[in-house]
Amino acid sequence: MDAFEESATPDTWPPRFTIDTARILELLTGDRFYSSKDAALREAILNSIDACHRRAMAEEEYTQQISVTFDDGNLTVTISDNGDGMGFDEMQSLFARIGASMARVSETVESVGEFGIGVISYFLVSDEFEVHSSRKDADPVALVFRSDMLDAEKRASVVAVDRADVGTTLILHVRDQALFDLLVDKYAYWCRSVDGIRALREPGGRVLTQGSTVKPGSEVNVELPDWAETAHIGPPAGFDRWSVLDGRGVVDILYRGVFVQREPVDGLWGLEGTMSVHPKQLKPQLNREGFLADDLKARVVPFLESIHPQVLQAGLASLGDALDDPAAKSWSVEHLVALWLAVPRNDRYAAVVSAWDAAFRSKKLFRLLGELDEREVTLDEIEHLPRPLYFAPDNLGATTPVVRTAVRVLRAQGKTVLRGLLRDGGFLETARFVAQSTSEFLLTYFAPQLEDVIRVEQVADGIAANTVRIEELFSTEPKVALVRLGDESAPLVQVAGELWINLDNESGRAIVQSVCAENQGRRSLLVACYANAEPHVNLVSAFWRAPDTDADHLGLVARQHLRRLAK
Amino acid sequence: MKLFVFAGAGASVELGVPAMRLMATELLEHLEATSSGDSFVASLRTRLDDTGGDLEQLIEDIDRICGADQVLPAFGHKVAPDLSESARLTRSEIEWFVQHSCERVRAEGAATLWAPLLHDVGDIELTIATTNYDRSIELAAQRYGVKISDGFGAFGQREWSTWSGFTQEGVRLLKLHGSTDWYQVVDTPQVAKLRHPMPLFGGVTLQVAADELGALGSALVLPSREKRTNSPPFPQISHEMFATSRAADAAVFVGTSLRDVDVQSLAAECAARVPTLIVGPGMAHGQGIPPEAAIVDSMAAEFLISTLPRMLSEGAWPEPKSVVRFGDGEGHQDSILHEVNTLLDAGAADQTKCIAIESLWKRSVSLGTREIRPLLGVGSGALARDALALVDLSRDRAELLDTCEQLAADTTDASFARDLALLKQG
Repeated sequence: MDAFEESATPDTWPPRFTIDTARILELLTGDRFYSSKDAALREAILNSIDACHRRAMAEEEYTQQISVTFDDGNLTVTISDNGDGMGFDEMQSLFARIGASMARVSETVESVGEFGIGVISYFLVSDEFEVHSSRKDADPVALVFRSDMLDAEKRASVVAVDRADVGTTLILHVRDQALFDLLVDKYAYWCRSVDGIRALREPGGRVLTQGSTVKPGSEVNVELPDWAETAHIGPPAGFDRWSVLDGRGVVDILYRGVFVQREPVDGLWGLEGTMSVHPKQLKPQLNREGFLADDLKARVVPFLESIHPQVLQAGLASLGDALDDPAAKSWSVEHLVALWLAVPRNDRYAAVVSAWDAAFRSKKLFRLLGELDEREVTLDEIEHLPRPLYFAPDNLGATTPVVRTAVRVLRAQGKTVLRGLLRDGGFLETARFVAQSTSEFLLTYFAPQLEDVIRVEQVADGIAANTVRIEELFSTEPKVALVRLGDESAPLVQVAGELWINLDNESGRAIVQSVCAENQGRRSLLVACYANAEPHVNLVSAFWRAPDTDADHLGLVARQHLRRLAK
Repeated sequence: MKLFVFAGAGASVELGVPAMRLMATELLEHLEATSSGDSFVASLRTRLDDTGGDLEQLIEDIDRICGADQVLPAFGHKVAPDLSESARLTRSEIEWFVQHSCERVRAEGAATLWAPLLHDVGDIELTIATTNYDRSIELAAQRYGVKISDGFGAFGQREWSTWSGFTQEGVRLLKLHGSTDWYQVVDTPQVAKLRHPMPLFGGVTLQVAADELGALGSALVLPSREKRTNSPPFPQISHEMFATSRAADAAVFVGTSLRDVDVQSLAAECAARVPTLIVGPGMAHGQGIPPEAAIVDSMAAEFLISTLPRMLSEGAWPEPKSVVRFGDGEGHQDSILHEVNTLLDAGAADQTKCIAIESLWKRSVSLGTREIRPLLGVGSGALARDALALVDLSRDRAELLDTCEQLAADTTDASFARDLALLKQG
């Protein structure tokens, strides 16, 4: 009280806002200040946190305690803390400094609350608020602030102090029920990880919980940058999280447990977590809805990029375990492909690449195109397949007829024909992919190890030119032609809407002989195929079912000719 | 070129005229059905079995019984009356049955069988000698308007004609054992030919109304009547046979096993002088076949329809003493007559004809323009395409290919044109 009496003068006490009223209004209502009215709640809690922090710096045995009470009956929100509190001087100084320009923020100030800037935001939701505060070694103080102070430069009202212990109690008389409900709702949005905070809703005493932050499945050990107090960063946990990744790394930035902003970073997939900024190193903006200029992004992104390899390495471990889980079966293989193809391939990721490649070698991410069917194969299996390895285009339907024909011929010849799997286009969409499919990936990164890898497109013209087309068995559509593909090739090949019968193959010759002997038009194909090449029966389906025409009944001369060819 | 052809029973078997063994079986069935348990008839089966089904031998046996009945009384003996009667009746039944069976010749088949030689092959002087009673050759000649010189005059407005001797016009037909339409004028040496013949039984004779001919009995030269060959007109026929065979440039014996010594002798004489072919399935040198002759292992129909016309067309004859198989060289024991008839049948379905074509093609049967051209139609469809295969085998290949070229130029059937191109490529 002595201090109070000594410094109090009619001009300074009770305090009043000493800044330009028009400027205050501009700050409060303009877009560049508070984007929403519930910022008042955040400011109030941050002021409490700052006060607690100041006290914690001074006392070793101290535990931060903040209570928030939403009183429906009175439409009040009461925020009470056990911070260092304010006495006469602090209260007077606080209000004297409100409205100071940004230039006055100095690096020596540890907390934004010191400016009392947030106090003004209280008028966003209330026309009147009370501050009851008690500071060690100072008289307690209680004031009521009303919104008309802004216009008329009226002074705050001194009221009886309702606070004995050290700390501050703020009572916001919320303007209406809608604003009150907004503040209730937004409590969890702003408060994510504030130590010692407890919120109740009265009457009833229902406890309100803080909101969640992004929590990684496992944390990687990282060296914290000087601007961060804490970092909990790592890969996602569980398939639910993995399967919804969009290719961005996501980190929630907190300021002493209060949510400040979410920072998504394109390309840093598989990374998520929470960071708390260090007040000394990172300067919040005046309104505390961001930080000075792009300071945060400029620091966070490089930091996250630097730890991304570590995160992916850790992610492989959790994903690897999970992939052995039956739940992984619900994943499409394209999903899996996308993961592998999204691993960056440069020196910084060398260790990660090595680990992921090792893990994915045993995944069935390629297709081996057999004579009649396809089967999934792994990279490990590919290494042991007969050479050369022919890679078919990933999307055969979109390629040229010549290439499609070449693929069919190669398959019929029993060559090793592979096809990659396209990545899932909707998964990890913002990630930078090293390839669009596993075949492109393999051709780019593994071809030197595998040797004798050939793109079918490169040899398609030659294959087509070397396929000896001899004669047509049925010249009407759909055509059935006789070709020579080598004696080790399949008897039948379906190519570009035609059926080819390989005369170099014993069964192929037998089919021709049988068709000539039967000479019942296209139906003879079915009989002949069943008798001589049953596994290929499905291939002839469209050809024997086609309506018979007179021309499909082969004349004797034609049959004699065909029989000679098929001898 | 002068060609002498001797046609034995085998040349008519494929026309439906039963061979001797089959005829014997049918005869016994007929006798057993009509004799009401006659013991003589019952004994005939045993005798036939003993002789291996030799009907001629059986007829000769019965003739001897009948002859004995005439001779024995002079020596104070006689044949048992029942046996004598049974033998006489059986003899009549047999004669009727043989005549009746020979009239069962299928006219369509006859035309198919003989037309290539009678009609299609030009520029030959043809003599056909035959011991067959059936009229297959006459029917074929009649179908295709080929003039036949068989020694009888033209019918004109009459139902009959009489012997007038051979002319130089047309194909000379020598029916050495008579014909189902030949009849002996009873009690005269005269033989007449009827326009509408019918089989006779026993003492039954025919009387042509309101004419000067007497009663007409059978003139078939069955074994017991070989003495008839000494009566007109058979000596003249035999003479003509020897004359034409000796004048021939080539001789063919088809459908005969050459068991008959006279035929053997004739074949030997021919073979010693000119290219001579002995035609029959499974035949081999020896067994009465002159060593100089070439054997053609073939059924009569395939030979007459395909092989002989082609040989005549190409002027190529097998080497003497050789045994050859034409067509696919398989020596088939079944007739091609049915298939060829099918091709010529205007009412047969295309699909049926296609099957027939394939069968003939597999046996490499060579047909002529007359048979093939109708199958080509307008050069479209399965039948026309299949017929191209026959074009390839045909003795008239060049002519038919020209026709096909014209058809291919006009047809909308691309397959026909393609198949024709394949055919020309060989």
